[in-house]
This record gives sequence, structure tokens and C-alpha cells, in this order.
Amino acid sequence: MPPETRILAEGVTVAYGEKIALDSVTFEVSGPGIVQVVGPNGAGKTTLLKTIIGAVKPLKGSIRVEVGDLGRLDNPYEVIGYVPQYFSPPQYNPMTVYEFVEASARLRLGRKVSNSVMLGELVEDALKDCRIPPSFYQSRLSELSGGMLRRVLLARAIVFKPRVLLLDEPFTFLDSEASRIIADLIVEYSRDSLVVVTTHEPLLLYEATRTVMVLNRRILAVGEPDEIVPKLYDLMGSSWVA
Amino acid sequence: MHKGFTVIALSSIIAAALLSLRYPASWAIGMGLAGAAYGALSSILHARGLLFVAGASPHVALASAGISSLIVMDAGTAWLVLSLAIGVSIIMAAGYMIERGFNADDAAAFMASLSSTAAVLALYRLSAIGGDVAGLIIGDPLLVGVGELVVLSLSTLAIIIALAVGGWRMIYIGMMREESLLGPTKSLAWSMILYLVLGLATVGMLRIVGYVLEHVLLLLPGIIASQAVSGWRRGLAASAIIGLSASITGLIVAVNFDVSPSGASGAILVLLFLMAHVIRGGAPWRRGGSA
Repeated sequence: MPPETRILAEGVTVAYGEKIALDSVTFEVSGPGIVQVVGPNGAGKTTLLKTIIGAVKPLKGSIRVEVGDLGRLDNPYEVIGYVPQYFSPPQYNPMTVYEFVEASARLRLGRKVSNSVMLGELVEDALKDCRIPPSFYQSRLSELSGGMLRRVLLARAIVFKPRVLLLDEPFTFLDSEASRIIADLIVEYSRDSLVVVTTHEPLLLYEATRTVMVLNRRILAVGEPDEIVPKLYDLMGSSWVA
Repeated sequence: MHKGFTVIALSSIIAAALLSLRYPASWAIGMGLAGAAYGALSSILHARGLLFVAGASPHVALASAGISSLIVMDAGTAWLVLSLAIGVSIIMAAGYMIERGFNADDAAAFMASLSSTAAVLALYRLSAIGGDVAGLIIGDPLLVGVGELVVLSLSTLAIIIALAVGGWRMIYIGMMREESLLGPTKSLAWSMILYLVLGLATVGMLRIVGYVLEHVLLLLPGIIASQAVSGWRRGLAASAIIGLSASITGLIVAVNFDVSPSGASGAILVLLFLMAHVIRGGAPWRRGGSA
């Protein structure tokens, strides 16, 4: 039985200059399982994820991450894997898919990985888990399609087996088949970990979702998918198109 | 490593040795080391997408060299130390701002503008009092003394070791910004080492390579290498070999045709750049944005 992981936010307010991005946001979510954060563009979804990892400091309030056996964490980033919404590798970057995932494992695990065989196994497991064919291992990142790049980013985030996985709009720019593949990977990973996904397409992960949170700078609603998704049009108006 | 690059590296070393039988060995050693150091650095700068910063660094080098020349009129060790202190500090300060979230292009634009202004003011004054302005701009590897050669050799060694050991960290951290912002302090340290190396190379080797050619040596080897190999280690090695071979070939052309060694090396790199693009996928002006 995987340990329970919780994210607790209390009165979190974030502003960029004069513009309020998050306004007194309070919630508690727990896993293993999927939490979907739904909201229109500019609702503060990315800001919320960045505040959880500590990249954005709140003006007021606090967010903390608790992992059952580790308790409250001073630096939650150690247990969080994060996949940003936008990622575009420099055109002349020679780093390969394998090297990229390996770099993530080496940087995050450091001395916990005692030898190169163990490191290689971790990298290959992550690549296999994300259905990346071996023929892509030596491809450069800049040569990949959008769908394959998403899978590589996911492999990079899960290679050190984080207890919390934060995915910022993982289906952006993907066709339906690529979205399906990513959705399956997310569902699989959520069996042992808390996965927080910001999205405009909550139906892709509907069956496996534990909690849906509707955000528009403030928390508009939090609950189970059956309770929240039917109300999305009422909550979000014309920005919600099912 | 691609066999072709091994052959090119060995040929360049043999050519340098043969050249040294007829001319002072410091010429080939100076040019070869500078070319290899800049080549290796070029690969990592491309992988990090720091081209604007790379392009702005020679401006800082010129400004710091100009200011140092005004303070210490003799181009000896004191001049080099002062020049390095000014230039490396500015480049590392800009690098720190970038690593803490400041837009890289904004930081580079500010660094280039500030240092260009300072360079013009310093060089104007320097030319008025009879200082060697042309030497800083054009560079002259043939004037390298034994002391400078030792400094150059140690710098090149340090640059290549730093990049070979920490290159993967520098590249990865550059792509995944949050690692630098939130990861262990070591992440920031490795990025700062890259800026330190960039400062050492651009400021420390200015008199050999020259302000103008520093741009070419920082910008082109990485692109040319990336057309031929995949993988950061192979990219680093290929880029260093391209820098080395272009510099040695340039020196051979220079001594035979009485042209500037740095200029000849630059012309060879430009030709290699065009050839690499044509071989890889047709003329660059007939294709879209990607290589």
C-alpha cells in the first residue's frame, strides 16, 4: 500500500505586480490518485503548480506537501516531478533522449544511485514505462514530434520515482492518439503517487480521477468528478466547452 | 566518436607539429589551444541556447581589455589579471541574473550595450594616447609570449575539464529552469562555472584571437558539430576538434599567404558552416528555420 501524500494550501495569494494570479486559495488534496485542476486561460493553474514546487513565492498564505512516511517536507521539490506546459529544446542541442532522462536521474538521485548499471536500469525502465521505443533513445530532443517529446518529458519526471507528479496541461498541442497514450501513462503512474494535472480536457482522465478542482484565481469548487464535471458550464461559463 | 573527427584531430596535431619545425612552436600551440577551448565552449553554449550571451561576451572582453590598458599601459600579467577581474565579474554577474530568473536576452542586451559603450569610451582614449587598439580588435596569435602560452595552456585545460565533467549538468539545468531555481545549490554552481569559463575564454584569450574572431569561434563550431553528431559528449568533442582544426589550418594558410591567422581561421569556419548545412539538407536559404 503506497503512503498517503497530501498537498495543503492555506489562503495562498500570488500576484505578479498589480495582477492577482491566485486569490486566497485554500484546499487539501490527497493521493495516490489523480487531481485535475480545471479553469480558463489565465485562471492561475500554472501559477498554482509553480507555487507548489516553490518556484513562485506567495504574497500571503502557504502550501505544504506531506508524504506519509516522510512527514512534512521542508523542500518539497525533492519528492516532486514537474512537467512544464511549454518545452522547446534549443535547435542545436546535441543531447539525446537517453542522456536527457539520465541527466534528470543523476541530478535528482545523486549518490543514491550507487553505480552506472543501476542508473541505466532506472533510465530504461522510465523510457519503457513511457512507451518510448529504443530506436528513439539516441535521437536528439529537437528531432522529436510533439507527442514523443511529451513522453520523454514524462520519462524525465518519473525516472526518480517522485511521490508527487505535477503536469501542466500535458495534452497541449497533441492529437487524440497522442493524448490517449499520455493519459494512459498518467493513470498508470497515479496508482502509487499523487498526480496533479492542469487541463482544459478533464474528460480524458475522468474515470481515473479522484478529485476535480475548479480554479479561476479563486477555488470555485472541489469534489469528485461525478459531482463537479456536470457543473463545469455553470462554473466556468463559455470558457468550458465539453 | 565519429572516426572522421578522430582523423581530423590527429591530422591537425601532426600539421601543428610540422609547422612548429619551421616556425615558433608557440604559434601553433597558441592557435590550437584557443581553437579547441572556444570550440568546446561553443557546443555547450548552443546546447544551452545562450547564443546572445555568447555574442555579447566579446564586447565585455573588449571593454575590460580597453579599461585595463588605460590603467596598466603594459600588456603583461598585471594587465591580464585586471582585465580578467573586470570581464569575468561582469559576465558572471549577468549569468547570475539569468540563473535567478532574469530574461537571458534582456541580460545579454544590457551586458552588450553597457560593455560596448565602455569599450568605445576606453578605446577612444587609448588610441589618443597611442595604445594598441588594433591588436585587441584583430588579435595576433603570433605575438604570444612564453608566459601567456603557459596561462593559455592552463586555461584551455581547465575549460575542457570543466566542460567534460559538468557539461551534462550545464546543458540539462539550462533546459529545465526549475532545476536551477529549486534544486540543490550545486545546480547553480555548475551554471556559474559555465559563465566563469566563458569569461576566462573571452577575456583571457582576447589578444590571441581578437575581438572580431571571438564571435566566430564561439558561434560556429557548435552548429557545425551538431550537424554531424548526436549526444552531448560527442558534440563537445566534435566542436573542440572543429575549433582546433580550423585554427591550425588558418595558421597554415596565414604563414603561406601572408594573411591574418585569425581571419583565415574565421573564413575556414564560415566555409565549414555552409558545407555542413548543404550536406545535411540543402542550402540553408532554401529551407525553413530548422537545420
